[in-house]
Amino acid sequence: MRWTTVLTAAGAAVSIGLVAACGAPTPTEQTDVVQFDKSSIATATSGMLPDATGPAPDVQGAKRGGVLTVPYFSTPANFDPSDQYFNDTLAILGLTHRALTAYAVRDGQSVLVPDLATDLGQVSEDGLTWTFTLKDGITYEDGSPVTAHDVVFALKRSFDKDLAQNAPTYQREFFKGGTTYEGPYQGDPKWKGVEARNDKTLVIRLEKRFESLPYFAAYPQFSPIPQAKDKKQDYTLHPLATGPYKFKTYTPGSELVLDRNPEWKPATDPARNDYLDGYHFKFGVEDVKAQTAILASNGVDATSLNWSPIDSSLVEQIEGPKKSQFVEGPSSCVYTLNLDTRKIPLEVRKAIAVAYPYDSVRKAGGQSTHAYLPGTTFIPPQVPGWVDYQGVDGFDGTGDGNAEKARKMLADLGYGPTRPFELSYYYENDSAVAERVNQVRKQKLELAGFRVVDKGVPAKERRQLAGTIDAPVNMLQSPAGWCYDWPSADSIFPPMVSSVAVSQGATSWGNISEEKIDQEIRRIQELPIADQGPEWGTFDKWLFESYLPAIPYQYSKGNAVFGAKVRNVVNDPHHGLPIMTQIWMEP
Amino acid sequence: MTPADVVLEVTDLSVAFPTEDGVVRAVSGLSYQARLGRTLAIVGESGSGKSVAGMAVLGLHDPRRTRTTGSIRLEGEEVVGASEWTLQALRSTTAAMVFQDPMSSLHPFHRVGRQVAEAYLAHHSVSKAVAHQRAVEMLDRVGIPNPHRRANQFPHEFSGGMRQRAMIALGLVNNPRLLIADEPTTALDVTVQAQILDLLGDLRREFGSAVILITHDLAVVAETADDLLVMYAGRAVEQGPAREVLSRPSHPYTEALLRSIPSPSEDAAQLRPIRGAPPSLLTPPPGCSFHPRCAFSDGMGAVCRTDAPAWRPTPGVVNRHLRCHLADPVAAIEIAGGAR
Amino acid sequence: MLTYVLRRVALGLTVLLATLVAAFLLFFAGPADPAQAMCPEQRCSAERLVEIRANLGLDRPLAVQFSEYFGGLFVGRDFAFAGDVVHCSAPCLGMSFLTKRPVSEEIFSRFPATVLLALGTVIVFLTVGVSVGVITARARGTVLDRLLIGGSQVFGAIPYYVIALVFALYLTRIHGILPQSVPLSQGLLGFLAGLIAPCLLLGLVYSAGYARYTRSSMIEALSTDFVRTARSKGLPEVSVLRSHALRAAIGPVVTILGLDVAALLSGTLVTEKIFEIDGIGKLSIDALGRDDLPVIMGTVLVTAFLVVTLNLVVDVAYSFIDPRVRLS
Repeated sequence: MRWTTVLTAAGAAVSIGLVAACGAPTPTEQTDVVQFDKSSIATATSGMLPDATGPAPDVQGAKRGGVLTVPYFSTPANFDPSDQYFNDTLAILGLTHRALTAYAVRDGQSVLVPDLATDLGQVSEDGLTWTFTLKDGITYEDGSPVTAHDVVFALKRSFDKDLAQNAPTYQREFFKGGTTYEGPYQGDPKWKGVEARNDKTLVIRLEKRFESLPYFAAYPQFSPIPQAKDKKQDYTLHPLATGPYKFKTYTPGSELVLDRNPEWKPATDPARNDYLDGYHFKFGVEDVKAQTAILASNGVDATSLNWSPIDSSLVEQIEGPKKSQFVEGPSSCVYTLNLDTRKIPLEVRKAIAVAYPYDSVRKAGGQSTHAYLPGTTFIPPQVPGWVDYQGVDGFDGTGDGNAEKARKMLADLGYGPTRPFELSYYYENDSAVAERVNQVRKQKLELAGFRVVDKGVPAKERRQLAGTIDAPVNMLQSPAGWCYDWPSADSIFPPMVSSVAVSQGATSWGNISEEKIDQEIRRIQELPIADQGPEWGTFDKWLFESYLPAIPYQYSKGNAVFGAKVRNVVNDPHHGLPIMTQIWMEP
Repeated sequence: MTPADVVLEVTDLSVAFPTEDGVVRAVSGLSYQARLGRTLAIVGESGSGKSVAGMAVLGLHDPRRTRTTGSIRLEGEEVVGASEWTLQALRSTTAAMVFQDPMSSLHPFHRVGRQVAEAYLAHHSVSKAVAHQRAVEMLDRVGIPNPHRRANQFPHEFSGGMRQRAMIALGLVNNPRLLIADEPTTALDVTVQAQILDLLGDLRREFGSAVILITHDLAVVAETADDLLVMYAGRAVEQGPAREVLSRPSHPYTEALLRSIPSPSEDAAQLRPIRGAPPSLLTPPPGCSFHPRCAFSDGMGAVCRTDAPAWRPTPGVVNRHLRCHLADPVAAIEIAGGAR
Repeated sequence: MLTYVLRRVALGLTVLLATLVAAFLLFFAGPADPAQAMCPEQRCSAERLVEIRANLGLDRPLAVQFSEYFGGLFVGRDFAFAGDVVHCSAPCLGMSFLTKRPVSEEIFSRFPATVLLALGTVIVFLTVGVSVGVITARARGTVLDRLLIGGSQVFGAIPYYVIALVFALYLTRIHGILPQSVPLSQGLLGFLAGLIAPCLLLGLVYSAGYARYTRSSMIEALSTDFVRTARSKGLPEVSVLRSHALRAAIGPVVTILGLDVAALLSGTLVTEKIFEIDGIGKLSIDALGRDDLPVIMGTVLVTAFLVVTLNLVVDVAYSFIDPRVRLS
């Protein structure tokens, strides 16, 4: 048995990614990026605090009361705790459904804390058996007690292919016998991958070490479901709450209203405050309309919030008079230019990194600087262990492409006007914007001395083709980026660069299949989670400099626009959405 | 001071339609009277202005598109320039009109009984049932068999003759002092024509109303008219008792009309149409509007071409008027008729 | 009359069948890929995509998929879900790929909102549009006529999306002149109040067209002989306009009304989306955006059904308006 330790933040404690647009209002024509200091984000987030206890610390000046209305563009498919993967539903269910662990705010940092469990899990020496003990006195919204059997049932349920169609599948990969188990309804009733020892304790058995299990245990799949009250596909209509709020009304496809859950006990909850009386989520709403109305803040708009990317027509407002109603911060995605390592030599790949017109492409695509942060590393800055480096001289994720330098690099490799290196890729040709973007990209690459064979295909087909490993192209295939599932690079590198993908005929970064990479990944994965951070940071640089399977050039940002009465909107860097429980409201 | 039996006094009536191409003078300087118990036939070709004049009596022209001058007195009430209010009171009660094509003049979507009853309801405050009863009575009066059943039918379920009878019933339902029948038999076949004319005559005798019969058919005139007014190019050219005018016409146009009626004993080779065509009402010819087609104008020198003749009593006869330069027109025409 | 109706019903069913096949081919055989909507490129590996597609049954032969769908319409269908057999009774429109809820439930639960919106809109454009048409026909050529017709043309030239967005934003949100939309589940009165703005807007936009149809129809009617007869009876002008002229002119308007009602009942996409009304239009547009094929098919079929039915209703109604039309 071993305690997991705190990952100390070396840097100064700074507020988590709370950045309003800095400096003077920037006209939207400029290509200058509004930089928030990457190092101020770095190391600010997510250590683990296994000793954290409730209640969650107060937000200074916060008042109780008010209902927050959240209208936004997409429509969640459902709210079944077994089926959640998208950030918006995770944020919403985070209000009603407690799991074994949760993310909390401590001293301005985002840390992992025990939620329903008493700690972040006790793991055996060989790392293959985890034990969690539940806190006392936890009840559902209907007063019935939460038991370990319920958590076990919920975990088994997350294996059902129908109920958990869209959810992450780490449990299938890591839990013992997980690849063949089919869930509590159709699977082997004797499966022991998860087991309740008694009403308070459950055991998880693994196929291999899974040091990030405590992070995974924050997912709603680890939220208890009483088997007797499971309604299968109808459970989503009113999944029993353990958090500060519960479902009041849910109309699938249109709206969800939450009100207070009187059974929630703040003393047991280190992660959540409950200033607001309730929430009103509205789905399928036109973002531009919602955002414009919210900025104007009349009536109910003054107590509303929209978390979609800010519409370009409103950028002037949120950089100017309405600065105080906008918040942006890091989000969990890194975007990459995928290069096929089997077809493009390493040195040529470096030339591409130098030649590519990053800012021109962004401008052509109409991307507002509030939607992205230029970068140079595979790991986004807010992940512990992040190291800032520039893997190729002349590449920093910005600029218009240095054609001259690239040409020289190519010349040194023997490529020139008589023998150009050919780049080929698919691009979407059924929208004016996509065409513009491609024009810019092609022009600059050609200027740098490449020969470009661009194949235009309809958007829907592109993804299909981009996922084909034998496609007759050598760059910009899938995956065009990756969003991590928790703040550790073991949720980035293994799926993206291990040889598993290629061996199964699927694409990956660089379509790479290197024993050295696989070994290194395996090695780091088995280290204690507290030690993994810096190791991944080193791995990141090494991967870039030695292999460059893809060029990471930017990270996503979360945006939030909110009404004049809404207070303390803080961006959650791991999901790009506000931390809902930190919000309070002026009456 | 007009005699008590003069229902309609038209004095110097002109009706003009301003168009993009110019002013169309449909009626110019028309004067006549209609008397109770008598049938006045207004005769002319198409374009002579007879229908326009007839509609003007009820003020049925759109005041925004028509320039009407002169005087039309219906039972002493002035129609020209009267308010819509005044006109609505006069219509159907003092004077009513029976239109030319009953298929298009009856509303295709309303039952016949209702259309007749409607005219009654507009001027009497009675219940719908009473008005309907009155309508059925009128349909019966005009000789429509099974009037109850017919009253509930639609116009397209009636034959041509029955439709015209229904129009007449509609015209008479409020006992008007004056009935204007515009070409009431034109759309019907010959056998039915006679029935309708008989009906009109019977009703006139029964109700004692004045009847104005607008027609281009002189045979019809001969049968039924007491008085005759001949129009040409918007003007009255001859007026007088029907029998006299027909037997001793005083205007070359009337004479030409009479001679152009084919008789069953002649054959087709001997048809005598009036040479030429009716003049344009936009740009009428100078002088007498008939002169280009008149058999007598050559012998008159320049006057027919330069001076428009005035409306004057016909020389040599009584109770007749004429618009022509001929000095002794009746005689001139008789001689000419004989020579031909 | 009966044989006529039966023949038309048979024809309508043929149209529905053709629509069904065409829609199926268009969506299920076309480039749409609902799995991509559920499995975005940056969060979901290629194998996962394949897995989801298989789970949705999309890699089975088209003929099999179609026969299952078609059969389901008549006798219902069984779906396996989490070890259970869920029965979807006829007419089974399938299960939404996204929410896993029966499509018929999703469509019919949104019907009341769309119906009320349609009703409100019809009331507005019939009163405003027809009145303006009658007024401008009567006042033909005058300043009033030119103003009203000119104004409606300008109105009709602006793209509807723009008008709707501006209208919604400024009237219901920023200046709060008209009430915002409220879901039907929260009470009928509030919902109806929230319908004022969209019905007004949509009604006015339709009014422009109805004013024009009515105007030209009325101008023709006003020049007919039977209207002249009506005047000659000494009827008040209002009676002439209403019972004689308008009565005759209304025919083409009724025909178009039938088509427009069908369109309104299938949901007005932009209006519902912008005014946040949870109706069939919003359902369709959301489903289209995410390639939720069963929902798309369901809305297409329901729309086709409404159009066919309303056409039949209009034809029958026509025979009552115009007694010369005999349906045989």
